[in-house]
Order: sequence, then structure tokens, then C-alpha cells
Amino acid sequence: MSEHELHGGISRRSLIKSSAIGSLALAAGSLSLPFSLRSAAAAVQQATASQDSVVWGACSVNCGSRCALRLHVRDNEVYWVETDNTGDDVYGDHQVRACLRGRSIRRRINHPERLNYPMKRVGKRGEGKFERISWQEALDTLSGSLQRIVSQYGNEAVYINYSSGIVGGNMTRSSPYASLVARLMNCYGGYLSHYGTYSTAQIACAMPYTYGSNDGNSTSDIENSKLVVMFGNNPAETRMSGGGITYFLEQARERSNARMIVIDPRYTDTAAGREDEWVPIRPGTDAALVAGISWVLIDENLVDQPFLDKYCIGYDEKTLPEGAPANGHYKAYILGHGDDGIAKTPAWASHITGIPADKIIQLAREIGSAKPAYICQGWGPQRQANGELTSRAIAMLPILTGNVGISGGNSGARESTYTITIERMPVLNNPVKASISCFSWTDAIVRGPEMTATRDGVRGKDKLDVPIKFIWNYAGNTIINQHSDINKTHDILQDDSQCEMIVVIDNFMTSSAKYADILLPDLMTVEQEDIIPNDYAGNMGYLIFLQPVTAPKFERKPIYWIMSEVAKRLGPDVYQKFTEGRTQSQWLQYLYAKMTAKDPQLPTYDALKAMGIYKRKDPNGHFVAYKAFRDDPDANPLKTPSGKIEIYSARLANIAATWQLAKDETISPLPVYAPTFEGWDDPQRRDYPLQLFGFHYKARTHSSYGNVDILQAACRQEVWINPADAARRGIANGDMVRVFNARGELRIPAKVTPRIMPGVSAMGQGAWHNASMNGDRIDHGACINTLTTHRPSPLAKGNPQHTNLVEIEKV
Amino acid sequence: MTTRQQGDAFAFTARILGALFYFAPDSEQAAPLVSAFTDGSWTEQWPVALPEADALAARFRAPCDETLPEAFQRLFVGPWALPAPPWGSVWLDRENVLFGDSTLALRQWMRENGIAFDSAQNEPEDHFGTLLMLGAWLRENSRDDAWQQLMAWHVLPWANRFLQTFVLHASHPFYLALGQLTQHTLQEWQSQLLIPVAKKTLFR
Repeated sequence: MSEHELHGGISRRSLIKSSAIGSLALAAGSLSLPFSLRSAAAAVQQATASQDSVVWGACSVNCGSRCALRLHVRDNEVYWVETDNTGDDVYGDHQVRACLRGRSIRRRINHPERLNYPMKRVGKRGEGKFERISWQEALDTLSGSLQRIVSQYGNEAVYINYSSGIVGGNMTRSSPYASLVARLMNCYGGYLSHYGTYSTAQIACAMPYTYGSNDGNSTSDIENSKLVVMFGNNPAETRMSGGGITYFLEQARERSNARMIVIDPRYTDTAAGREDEWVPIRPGTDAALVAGISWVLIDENLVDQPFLDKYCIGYDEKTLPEGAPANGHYKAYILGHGDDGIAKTPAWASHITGIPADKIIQLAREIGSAKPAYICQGWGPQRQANGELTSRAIAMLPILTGNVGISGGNSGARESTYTITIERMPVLNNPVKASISCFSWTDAIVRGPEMTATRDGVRGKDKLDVPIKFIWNYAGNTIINQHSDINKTHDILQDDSQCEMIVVIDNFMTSSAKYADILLPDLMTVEQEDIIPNDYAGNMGYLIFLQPVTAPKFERKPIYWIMSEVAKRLGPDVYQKFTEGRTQSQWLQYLYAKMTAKDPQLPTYDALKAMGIYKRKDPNGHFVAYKAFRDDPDANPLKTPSGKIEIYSARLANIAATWQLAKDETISPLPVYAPTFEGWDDPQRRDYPLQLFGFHYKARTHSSYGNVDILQAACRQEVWINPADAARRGIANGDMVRVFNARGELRIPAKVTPRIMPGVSAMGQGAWHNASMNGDRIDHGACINTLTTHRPSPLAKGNPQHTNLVEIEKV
Repeated sequence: MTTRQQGDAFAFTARILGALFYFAPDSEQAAPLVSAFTDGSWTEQWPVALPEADALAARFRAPCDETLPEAFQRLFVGPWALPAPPWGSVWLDRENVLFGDSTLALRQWMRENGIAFDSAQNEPEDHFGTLLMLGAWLRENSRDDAWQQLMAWHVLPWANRFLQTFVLHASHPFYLALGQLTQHTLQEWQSQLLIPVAKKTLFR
């Protein structure tokens, strides 16, 4: 600094001498320039420190895979990114290679649009006007607001919104029930929690009624299968990592030569020439297809009767539980002896699904005769307004054919995975017992105290006492972009007398961040130290030990620091309870010590740090769902009330009898097909003739990476429409179209393709909403949630974001 | 830039323009400069001839609904996308990032020339305002070779593209005028430069 002043001083004098002295010269002359001389020794020292290095990192977004990255660093900056290239890359000990998203992470880390400073809202909420403030002011403001709201309304008024931006972190994990925000709130009296996720609300709620849990065989087990049947399961686009499911599917099929049937309204990349058969189906009608197939299986005696007798209840009159109506069993429903009196013949199913009856018969014969068969579903079929029924219905095929609990078979659920030993950051216990569905928070803002257990799915108590007044939103875009009906949500949030404070902690100005009252710039997971496990990875688990790739930039802060600072302001006891006196690095060492105590085979902390990634194959070979139950059902009962597979669920019968439901909502003890609002046969199709669903898009993980230009260019945001539907509307491939219904309108180019069935349209979900909300509200970013509804599914009260009716017109 | 006078004129203008691009208008560093531009006193002191000086002076003074600090935040701070990011590597790096390859090249050059950037935070060295102030500092310390290299290798290759974009999206009379004044002044500097401006690919 002294050098600086010396040189600055000389220059200032000469400057003033040589210029006419005026106000400008005076002002210029008094300016101290932020540069100084650096000694040669210091420069050499820094130059040595700037030798190239490779830092292990990971892509931590919510794709269901988890990829290791090797970030090449020069002079404390990332200059290029590669992925796991270590080891011999033998299947089972293969490289965990990142997809195009993880490989483009340099564009995210150093994106010119990254948030650099804390902000406070200055205009109307959602208007997008912010003012830069200090961390001190930001933390004081939000802590003060939290204290006031808790004292005025109680902890039930504080909500942690669903957020999946960083499911791959441990210290940085964003999942609301597992995040440092939850830990902080649990140190401060608790918060209104939620159940379910936007990914799996319906299946996670429904499948346990059948099985007691929601497990599936690991994909690696397909090497023992004769047949693979995928209901809306699309790993090539949803779990596309080289360490993830799509690679296991390919490798396992290479070993077993299993035939693969893909049942999907869209000819997905998982099919795309790798399938033996693609069966297009109308969205929301999978349960009808299952019923039609079941009719053939029963009619042609292809069911595994001993399995049904021994392991299941409710298939026929022999195992129908007490209290159920005599014709309440599944066989009666299928054969038309139930209440509706309709036989679920292939012709009946054909009318609903759009699949020819002959094809249904052929499918049934194939499914009934190939054993073991890996029959599974993705999470698309369940993300419908009748998704609870659909997910349980798909499970009927492996149940009827006795494919449950055996190697090469499956339960009908989505694949499970082997997970290596991990000790998560503990979040402590939530003293508030009430919870709502993850999808109901906008309702809870508007009419919280009216929400009840039997109408709105409130759990833990009969009704809510207070509305939501404070929202934490850490690394999530579900305030706007990923929640439904954006236009309605905007109206709810704009009224800041209802929800009084929204705190958003993120890396980018997402459409959710636009609704923040306090907006805080977060460090990314790759910029912090963390130890994380594999996500869905077949039968090969692994740990990744991340090191901060560079020093923090601008005023971005790690979540542990942010929450510790809030804790400090809430009181010394809260601070102590939150930190337990540990730094972030000490927490990692503490958690890892617990892991090695549990699992002595793990490398030491320092060894893992040096390795970056540690892999281990499942010692049991493959995960086989419900194997113990299959081997010995008496010793290892399922977690259902009967301990058996409940084809007929008495608990669901009770819910169906006691809950308040609308006429077009069905909850049933049996996994029946039921039509739904905005389904294929809704009268609204007169105005909005096309079904529309969203799909996970390779350009993004939900909305993460949505602002990376090369990814946008590689996978363009388009609405898929069949040539027959396009021709009727005068739409050519590439034309800009308007997609609309009563809830909103968006603009998007059309992809005219036979890869989608007639009457159905689809677009990648997660594109960034981009509309003038004080103007015409037309969404030029083509976010599907401009068109989706707030109305929840009947049982899970989940998001039916694939159940939509729209019209499409050329602009 | 051959004569001593020209060098002094450069340092004088680079100091002022650099500070106005880098510091908030209500900061202690920039506020006196802003006053000199809004009260019009700057015109007679500006050492570079300007084609439409009166119009430019009027623009600096023109009222606007958006306050000057608001405009500065929109153009240089966020949280919304900056219409013309002021960092060199956003234009010069193949991936349009901050702290890009060109930032590393600049950093290395600064190291070789014994220059330290005394910033209050960890931020890139290639902010347009920082670089102009660095040019002034080098010239004021009579390090003419380094000053010329800085301009020819690290500033002028991208400055025109940046300023074109900045002027197009400034949307505030003061910053529009600042962009235009900088464009004119930069042209003058470039014409006086003794070493050729490096040809670099622009990625934005």
C-alpha cells in the first residue's frame, strides 16, 4: 500500500500540473487507483502457486445420477473440465462419466449472470426490482422477520419450500427435509414440513399401499431377465449419466439379450432403435392397458396362481380380506363381476388407450410367458391426476405373473439402486408435527386454516392453524418455474400481506428468485468441500470427495456460513445447537469418522481425499426388491398391515369412504383404471383437443443448467406434435406456435414428428419462464407450468403436471 | 500516443472513465466525477476533441426516471443479466465466462510486470473500468511500454464490441453519454498507439 501511495502521489501532482485545474481534474486527481507494485519475489511465489492442478468435483443437480468431474485449475481458475477417466473402465468398476451438462459446468460456475451480491426487494413483489445490500443488512432483515413471524404466528407459519437444485450435496444438500435450513429451523422450534416430492408424489404415496414400500430391482439385474417392459421409463433422457441407469440398461441387456418393450406416448431416446417394440399409449391410460392385459392373462390362464395365493391378498375371493365386499377382488374387477359390471377386455382397453386390441393380446401373451420379466415404470405415468392408481396398476403385471422378489424380475416400480455407506448431515427433529403435500403450499398461503386432513391431505393434525407467512427457498425453482399454474401463483405471491417474507438463496436469477424479498448469492457445491454418495447407479456404489475448485468470488457465501449467521442472530443457544462448535470441514471429518466406524472397508479420510472417487460393487450382486419376503414371507413380512402384497388395500377402502372427494376424483382399494379431469375423455377436449405432457429434457435437469447456451442449442426447446395434428392446423416443422389453455399461453417452435402419437403433444419441462407479468403474460421461455393446474391428485395431493389439455395454433 | 501531452491526456481521461465504469455513482470515488459531468464543467477540461460535444454534454445532464444508482446497478451489479458484461473474458473466452482464459493471460502479464490489483473482493482483473484505471496508473508511473501493451493486448481487442453493446443497452442518458464519450476517446487513443492492437476472436 505504501508503494501504491508513493506512485499515486507523484502521478497526481503531475496530472494536476499538466491539466487545466477544474472540478473534473480535482475529482480525478483525488481518486486513489487500486493498484500497487508487487515485488519480484512475491510474483515468483504466486507463479509457483499457479501451476496447473486437477480438482475433483461433482455435478450435484437432481437428475438421479451423480457424476464425478475433474476440473483442471490454473491460477485458481477452472480452465477446462473433464470427467472420471480413472481406472480400467470395466463394467462394474466403470468410469462415472458425466453427461453434456456436467461437462459444461465451467459455463455455470463463471456464468456472467451469476448472483454476486445480497439483494433486497424494492418494488412490488414479483416486479423484479432489487437493491444491493450488505450481508449484515440481509441477515439482520431476514432474521428479524423470522423472529417476528414465529412470535406472531408460531413455527407452523414457516415453510421450507420443495427444492431439488442440490440433491447431490451433503453439506450443501437442498432437499428441504435434509438441508441445513431444516437443521436451523429445527434448532429454532421447527417449521411446517411437507411430504412427497414433485418427482414422485403419487407413486411414493401409492406404492406402499401395495408393497409397504416403493422398491424395484437394480437395473443391473436385467442381465438375468428375458424381457424388459418399460412403462414411461426413459433412462436415456432422465438418468443419462455414464455412471447411471442408461449405461446399466445397455450393458445388462447386452448380457441377457432381453427383449425390450417401451410403452410411452413418445418414442423416447431409450427406445430410439434399441427397443424391440414401441407401444404408443394415451397419457393417463396405463391402468386401462394393464387391466386389458390382465384380462388376457386370466382368460388364458397365464397367471401365477400359487404366488397369488401365498403372497397376496385380494386377487380373488380366496384371499379377500374381511370387511371387503364379496365382489371386491381384483379378478372380479377384471372379469366384469365387480360393481361396474364391465369386463376389462382388450377391446375395452383398446378404446381407452388407443392401442389395438390385437397388440394388447400379444403383449399379454409375451408378458405371461417370459420369466423372469423386468416390468417397471418411470415416474412419468404417476405424475398424472390419476397417477396413484396407475402406479399401483402397473405393479399388477409382475404380481400376476409372479415376477416379484426374484432375480431378473421386478416389482413394477422404478429401479432401486445400491448405495454406498453415507452419513448425512444430521438435521435433528422437527418439533412441528403438521405437514402438507409438497404441492399444496400455495393453497396454504391463501387458505391455510381451512385446510384439513380429509380434504387437503394435511398430516400430523386435523387441520392447519395458520397460513404460511415465511418461505425459505434454498437452491430451488419451485416457487414459480417448477410449480404449476404460474399465472395463478404470481397473483398469490404478489400480495405480500399474505406470505410476508420469501428468502431465496441461489446462484442465478431464476423466475423463483424474482419473487424474493431477500435474495442471497450462494456458493456452488463444486466450490466447497463435501463428501457425497452415488445416486441411482445400479450395483456400483461410490463416494466422491469434492474440494473447492477455486476460492469464493465476489460476495458469494456457503450455505453453512449463511445458516450459522442466521443462527447467531436467533440466539447463542440456537447458534451452539446449530453448529455444535464445528466448522464445515470439521463436520465432514466428524461424519466421515462415523462412516468408517460403520464400514471399516472405507478408505481413510486422507486416502479418500487423495483418490477423489472410491467405487464398490454391491456385495450382494444385485438389489432384488422384496427378495427376503419372497424367500420366506412369514419371517420377512412386508410393511403392509397384512404383511403381504395388498392388491386390495383396506386402508385405501377406508380413505375412499371417509375423504371428501370431487365427482371426478377416484380413490380405490383396487388398482383400477379411472378417468380423470383433463384426461383423454374430458369434455373440455372440444376446446382444448390435445393432451400435453412434459418430459425431462437433456438440455437441463429440471430448470438447472437451463441458462447454458450450448445446451440450449444442442437440445432446442420445442413442442412435439404428430404430423396428422400438425397438418390439420397448418403447422410445419419449425413453425412458431402458441400453446394455450384457460390458464395461460406460451410460444415455442413446433417439432412435427411421428415420434409422438396423434392427439398428444409434449415439451421438455423446466425451460425458464419468460413473460411480462404486468403485460400480456405470454411465456416466451416456454415453461410448461404456464399451462399446468394447481388442482392436486386425489390421494397424494400431488402435482398432476402431465395431465393437461391444450390447443396449439400457428402464430 | 507519442507525445508526453498525449500520454497525460490519456491518463487523465482513463482515470475518469475507468472510475465511472467501475465505481457506483454515489460512491466517494465517483460522486465528484459525476458532479463534474452533470454540471457540464467537464467539457472545457476534456483533452480529446469531440464531434458532438454539446449533444453529449446535454445527454450527461438529461433527467431520467431511473436514478443513476439504479442504472449503475442494472448495468454493472445485477441481479438481472447485465446487458453488456464489463469483463473482458465474457467477450474473449470461448465459453463466455468470467475468470476465463483471457483473464488468466492478463493476470500473468500483470504478474510479469509486477502489478498488483488491490481489490476489496475476489473479482476478475479484466473489468473494463479496472483496466482503464490500470492504464492511467501505468502511464502516470511512466511505464509506457506496459501501458501500451495493456491497451493493445488486453483492452482494445474487445473494448469496441463491449462499448457498442453497452451504448445500445445503456437506457439511461448518463451512461449512454459515458459510453459514447468513451467510444470517441478510445478511438483517439487507438490512433495514437505505437504497437498494433492484437487481433483476437470475439465470442460474443
